[in-house]
Amino acid sequence: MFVQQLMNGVILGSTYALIALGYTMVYGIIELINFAHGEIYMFGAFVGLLLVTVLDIPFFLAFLLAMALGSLLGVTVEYLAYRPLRRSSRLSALISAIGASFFLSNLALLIMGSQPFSFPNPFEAKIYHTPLFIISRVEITVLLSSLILMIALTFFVQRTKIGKAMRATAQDKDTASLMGINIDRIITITFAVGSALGAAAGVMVGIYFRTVTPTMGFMPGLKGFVAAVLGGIGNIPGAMLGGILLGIAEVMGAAYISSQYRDAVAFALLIIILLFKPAGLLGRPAQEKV
Amino acid sequence: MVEPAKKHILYTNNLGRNFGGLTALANIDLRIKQGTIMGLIGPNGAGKTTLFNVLTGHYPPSTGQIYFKSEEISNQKPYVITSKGIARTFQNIRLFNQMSVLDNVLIGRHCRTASGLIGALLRWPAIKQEEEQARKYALDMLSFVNLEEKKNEWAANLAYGEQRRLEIARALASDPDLLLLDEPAAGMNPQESVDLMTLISRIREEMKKTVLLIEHDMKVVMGISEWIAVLDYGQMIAEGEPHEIRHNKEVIRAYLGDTA
Amino acid sequence: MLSPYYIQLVILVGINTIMASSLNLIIGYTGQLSIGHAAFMSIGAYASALVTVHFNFPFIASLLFGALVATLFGLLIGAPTLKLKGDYLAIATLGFCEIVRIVFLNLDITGGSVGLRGIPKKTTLLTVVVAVLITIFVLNRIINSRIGRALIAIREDETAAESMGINTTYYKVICFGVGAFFGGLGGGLFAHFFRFIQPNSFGFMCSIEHLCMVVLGGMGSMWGAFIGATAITAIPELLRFLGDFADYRMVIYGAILVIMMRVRPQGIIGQRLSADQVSIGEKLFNRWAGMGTGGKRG
Repeated sequence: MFVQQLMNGVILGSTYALIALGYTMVYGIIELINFAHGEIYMFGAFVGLLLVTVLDIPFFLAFLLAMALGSLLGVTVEYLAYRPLRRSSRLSALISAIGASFFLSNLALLIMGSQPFSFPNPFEAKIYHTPLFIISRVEITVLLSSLILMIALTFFVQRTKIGKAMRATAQDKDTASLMGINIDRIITITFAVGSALGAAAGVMVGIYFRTVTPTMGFMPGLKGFVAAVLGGIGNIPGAMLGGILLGIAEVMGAAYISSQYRDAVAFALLIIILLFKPAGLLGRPAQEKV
Repeated sequence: MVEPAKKHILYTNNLGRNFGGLTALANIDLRIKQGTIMGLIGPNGAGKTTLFNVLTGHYPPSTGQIYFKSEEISNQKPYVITSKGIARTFQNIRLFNQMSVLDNVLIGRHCRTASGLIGALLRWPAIKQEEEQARKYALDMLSFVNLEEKKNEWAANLAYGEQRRLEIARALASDPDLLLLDEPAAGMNPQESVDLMTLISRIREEMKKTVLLIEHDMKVVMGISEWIAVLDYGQMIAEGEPHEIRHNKEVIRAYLGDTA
Repeated sequence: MLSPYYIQLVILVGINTIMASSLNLIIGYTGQLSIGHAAFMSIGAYASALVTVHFNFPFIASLLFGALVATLFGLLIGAPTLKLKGDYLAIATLGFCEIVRIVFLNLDITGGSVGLRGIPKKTTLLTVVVAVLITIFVLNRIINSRIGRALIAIREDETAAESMGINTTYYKVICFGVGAFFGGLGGGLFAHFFRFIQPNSFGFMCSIEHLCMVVLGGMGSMWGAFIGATAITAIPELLRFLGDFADYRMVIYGAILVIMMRVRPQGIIGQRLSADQVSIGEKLFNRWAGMGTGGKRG
């Protein structure tokens, strides 16, 4: 039973980790909580759903298309709501981000209505039994795709030239721009990649929980952020670790404490981290410039 | 090395500060004699501003201790240190832009006043009187730096040189015993620099403050400091009177490099 | 004579003015982004309603009780989170607001998701008007005091404020406590007017509505909070003839936040004046509110 719960936690956590990556990448570069990230996730789920159900596109292709469109939406949000405010106060940028998030989720509510849509299972409902736990084919898909995406991201950030430019920009925008890096382009790419991962998470949660709603971005968006803070905001491996740990904490909390307070676990955890280790598990304490 | 004595308003023992693996300051034994103007110079990145930040509590020291008026202040918060009598200005002017000039100076008076929430609500006579006195004091500081007429302007609307002076007035309003000035002459034209030198001398003569200043403008530093300390790579490489520093080989090497 | 419909509208404007102006103290004057103000409203609403229903508290006493319980929670959540700089506060307040909602959904005493019914109707036009005047009077006195100056300095430059001798954490917590008090007061008035409250009335949407009022009217302006509250409360009513506006309402709130930040971050009436050019309206207002020392806007 315990191992089964642990496994469920890891699967749920891997989707949080994907969402958390988007937050952490954006925060690393422009130090802004991208509140609209949860809505990108919701958007990804809807695109995946519509492509599969209405256009009858094969699931795998729909998955990739959802990532591409999610990335487009992320870049658009950046362009319209964040870029004009890059020289404004942090407060203005944050308020704009909250506004963008609120706008998108309510627009979706207006267009799609508040009834939940059910996501058809793209796979045969096969369940595998192991001595310690059982796992369905969908769960394996979720776990594996998260893993692949995370490895791909790590490779991208660590090994490619753009990844190097991203890391340089995160360290010091001014110097990076003096070295000939086009900061605007790097920020766009960061939003594109982060949003693609968020949209991917949306599709995966769609097939995992089988329901899609316009307001589905709110909670996982918040939890993705909590996961990013837990791991150390701005830190990519931290976001992965934070996501998995949060997933486990939530499933365990629901199983052994109270399922009604399931959603409160993440926030209680957040406040505890902020109290005792605000830099997160893998983050370095921020040194404020005077 | 000079042994710390009563005449030193501030002294440090073996003060150091690391950032991760980087040593920004090491083995600093600073002695500031009461009632003097002391200069702190050194090439860019030598650790001068870091030293200010450690002295004022923005960065806790990694090693060593700081004593101010014979009391250890090593790990105190900035606002506590200010109330004990050290005030500072910033290299990159940090005023409260959307507050009036007068209110900026009144903030400096904050740690010398006490009214709280209940006082703010009920405003009994003692509270009003305290506010009046703070205002009077702040206006005195403004007229000292010759900004009295601008008291109702927003700080953001002042000219650059005026902003520098406002920062000094704000620091003076906290009635400090030791005033730390971080590159007060930066960006000023020659005439403004001369005026600033007069102002700093007056702070010492008329207000009896001790001043420690970081400055790149050698004319300013050499002109008004009685004692100068030189930092290079986080170490204090020399100290002495201006004419000694001017001819010190170590200092010349630090500024011009080994080939000079 | 005002019809009941208009009286209800005015009462709502009043309650929202209390919410917006207390949030304005936190966001507009102190520069701390709290997006969980509905939590305090909710705590105030439940706490005051429960003591009215179960212990038969006099109206004023139950309002005060609700506001004090909200203050207590404001201090509890503020003390740890306000030590951190910047954005963490936003997310912590949002999280706090969710926790409060979830707890109220699951407690027996609050009636869970069904809500709390049968609260006696005690809020009248008069009580709301008096409460609004008291709120604005108190907030205005705080803003125009040594404390208010410290709060605005924290907004302008926290590091410089601390280095000028201001215990920034202490003042942020005070500001949060005061904001929570009036948030709780607004909640109490709300509960005793509608006679029915449920946890989902005080969710994220509600917090965003308050934020919108502050941003639209003008951050750091007392008049701004009032105008923002009036606009956000009354415009949907005025546009009722256009069809069911409620559907578009939330989308428009989102757009308002983004567009205002881009086009007019100072809000409708918040003009970036030089300090001696305070508007006549504000001058009269300040004099009325007992501010003796000349105009100052945050």
